Parts: sequence; structure tokens; C-alpha cells
Amino acid sequence: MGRAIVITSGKGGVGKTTITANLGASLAKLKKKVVLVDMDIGLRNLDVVMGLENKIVYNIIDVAESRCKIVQALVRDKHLNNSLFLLPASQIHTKDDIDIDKICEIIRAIKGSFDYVLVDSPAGIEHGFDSAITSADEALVVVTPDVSSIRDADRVIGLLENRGIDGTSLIINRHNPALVKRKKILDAESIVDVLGIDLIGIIPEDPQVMEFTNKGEILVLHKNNPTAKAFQNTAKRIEGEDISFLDLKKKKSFFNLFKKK
Amino acid sequence: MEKPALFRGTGEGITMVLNPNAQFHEILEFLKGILEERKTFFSGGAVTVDPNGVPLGESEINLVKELFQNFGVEFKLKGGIELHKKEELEAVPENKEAVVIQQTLRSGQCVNSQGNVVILGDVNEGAEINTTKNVYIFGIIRGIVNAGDHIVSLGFQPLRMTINGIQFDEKFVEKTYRKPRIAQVVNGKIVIKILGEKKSLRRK
Repeated sequence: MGRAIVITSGKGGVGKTTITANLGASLAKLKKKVVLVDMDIGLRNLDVVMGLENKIVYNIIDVAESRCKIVQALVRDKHLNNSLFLLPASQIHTKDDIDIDKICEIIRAIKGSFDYVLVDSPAGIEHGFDSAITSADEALVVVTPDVSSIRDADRVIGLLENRGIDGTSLIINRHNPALVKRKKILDAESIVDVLGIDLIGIIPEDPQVMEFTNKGEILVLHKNNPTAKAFQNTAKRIEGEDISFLDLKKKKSFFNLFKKK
Repeated sequence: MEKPALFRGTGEGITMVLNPNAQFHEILEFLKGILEERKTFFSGGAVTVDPNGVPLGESEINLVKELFQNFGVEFKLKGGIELHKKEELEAVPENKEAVVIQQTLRSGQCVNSQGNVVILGDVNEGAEINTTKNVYIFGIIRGIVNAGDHIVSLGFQPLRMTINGIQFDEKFVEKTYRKPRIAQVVNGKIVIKILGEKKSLRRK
């Protein structure tokens, strides 16, 4: 039985879709069978990030309304075509057209044949978000180092409670050590202090992310830079490996031993 | 004398004189070290303890007695010493459910309650709380706390801590937390966790 994990944030534009694609690809590279589910009905983006727009025939609403079987709607990734799949969202419907029970059934069915089902949640806390988190068993909350994103994440974490979510962890996206040093943005420790959940990934700010989205290619499948390594480490931690964070390790330098906290 | 305690041989046997400038937990650690080092020398014998100004209450005496017992040493208290009695605080009950002490519990003070106990401060070394219910401390535990089900605090450095009779047996750790931790009995042992800890995504 696979794991169904929703990637959510509350705030829009923090990197849920990019993280879903790159995390999914990283897990597939670890020899797992992964399906990425786009739950941003009406504003689909996961297909664009994966460069699969032209390969879509059916979408999740078609499956929910019994116009096709699940397997007919699944699109193979361009490169990892045996281990990474996309279940696209509909671009012509809206979130009001979502039948939560049907979606849950679909996710449950997919779990039976895959190791990981990553559900890309839409922004907001309305019906679309609701259906995304109801279908999943575990949650990844994505945050950027700014107060609005953190406040939204805090709200979302509160909403995740009492929803049968079996595990919740945090990913800090667009981390920028230079800005942290100049006290322009929050450091990882402060963010974790406020949100109080397990930190599982720190993804650095990287202008190449947008370039790859525009090319329709998933970054981790083409690069081995710090960003790619951060995604790989996050995937390994999800799998249970204990990898320490580079950022937090820096604090324990020799010089810091003499500093009083 | 800089050591927490000094040993003297007299006509009556061995006397241990305590250093009034040492903290009680330091005295206990020191004693434990000496007894471990000279196990064969002390075992089977008796040691007389001279408090020398260190306020020893019944609970503190019991801690020393227990330590001695573990090494087969008989405990004797120097003659003519009055046991230090802790001042029982007249707690202001907010309601029947809890007793709230609106300050740090100082050395020599104690709270004996039938209900929950809330301390708006620390529990200093030499202070004591006894209840069958629970204890909530807006600070650090350095003294003695005996509770029924759980203890919430910002730091656990107790002289002695028990929950429902089970003793907290972790080594002295100078750690304090920014957010409260809860001490509870799990599988017969006292375990300290973050309050309201959420399970992570990491595969176990």
C-alpha cells in the first residue's frame, strides 16, 4: 500500500507545484513508483512544469464522472516513463465541480498500485484545498521565509489537525542564506519555532527553477546543483533516512562555541 | 573547603561534613562519585552526616539514605540536628480544580495539594510539590516534584521527580526549553515530550 501525501501551503505561489514535481521525480529516482495528482482544478500547472501539456487526453474529473478509467488518464513522464506518472487536473471545470468522495476513491485506488501518490493542493483553504487534504493520509506544508506565508501555513496546520492526517512535516522553500545573514528574511530556526512541526526540507532560492518550468523540464532530472541535492535529501528523509541540514549545521561552528546564546 | 563534602575519621567512625556553599545536587553527585570509587571501603560500614548548615529536610535526608543504601552503607545523622521543615504555602485556590502559586517556589517552601498545582515561576532547589494530580510550571524544576499523571515545565533539572511513584532517572541536564514539555509515564518510564507533538512525515 502506497503513501498518499498532500503538498499544501495556504499561500499561493510558494512552490507547491514545483516541489511536487521535483520531489516526485526524486522519489522516482530512488526506485519508487510515483503518481503526481494535480488538484488545482481549473488552474492546472503540474502538467506545464512536467512538460506534458500535449500528452493529456483525460483528467481526474473525467475519471470522477466515469468517462474513463484511472489508467487511461495517467500520463507517463517524458524521462522516467516507468516510475513517474501524472494524473492531470481539468482546465475547463472549477473547484465547485469536485466530488470529494469520488476523489478519495480514486486516490485510494491509485495507492494500491504505487509507492507514492503526491497530491498537489491548490492555494487557499476552500473546497479545492479541502478535497486535496481529505484524500491524503500525510501532509507536507510548504512555506517561504516571509511572514504572510508563515501565517497562512500556521492556519493550514491548524486545519490539518483533526482531519485524520497521520504525519505532517515542513518544507522551507526559496531559502536565501545571504538574506538571512543580513536579517532581511527569517531563518529556518525561527520559522520552525513558530510553526512547531518537523522540518523535512530546505530548498534554496534558485533562478534556474523558473527556467526549467518554462522549458517544461523537471530540474532534478537534469541538474545536480544544491537545489537538486536539497530535493534529493528531502526525498530521502521522507523515506526515513536521517540527513542533517547544511544550514543548521553551520551554527555549530567552532567560533560559535564561544558565543553566549 | 571547595569540595561539596569532606570526610573525617573520628573515634566514632567516619563523618561526612557538608559544604554549605554547595548546591544539594552537587553534594549528591559528589557523594555518588566517592561511593563508586571506594565501594569496598565504605560497603558494610556506617557514615555519619553533619549538615554543617546545609538545610536538610526529610526528603533530602531520604535521598541521601537511598544513595547510601545502594552501596550498602548505613546512614547516621549527626546528633542534635533539627530536620529542616519546609514552609507550607497557603496556596490560593482559584477553584476546586487547581492551586495557583503566583511566584517562584523558593527553597524551603512546599505545596501539598489534593488538586492540580500551577506555579507561575520556577521550583527552586529545596522546594517541594506533592500532589496526586498534575503539576504545571511556568519555569524550571530544580527541586522535588511528585505528581500523579503528568508534569508540564520549561526545564527538568529536578532533585527528584516522580509520577505515580515512578522515578525520573535521567542524568542531570542543564537544558531549558522555550516551549513547554510534558513528562509522562510511557511503558513504565518517565518520558519528556513536546506538548502537542505532531507526528512527522518521516518513515519510521
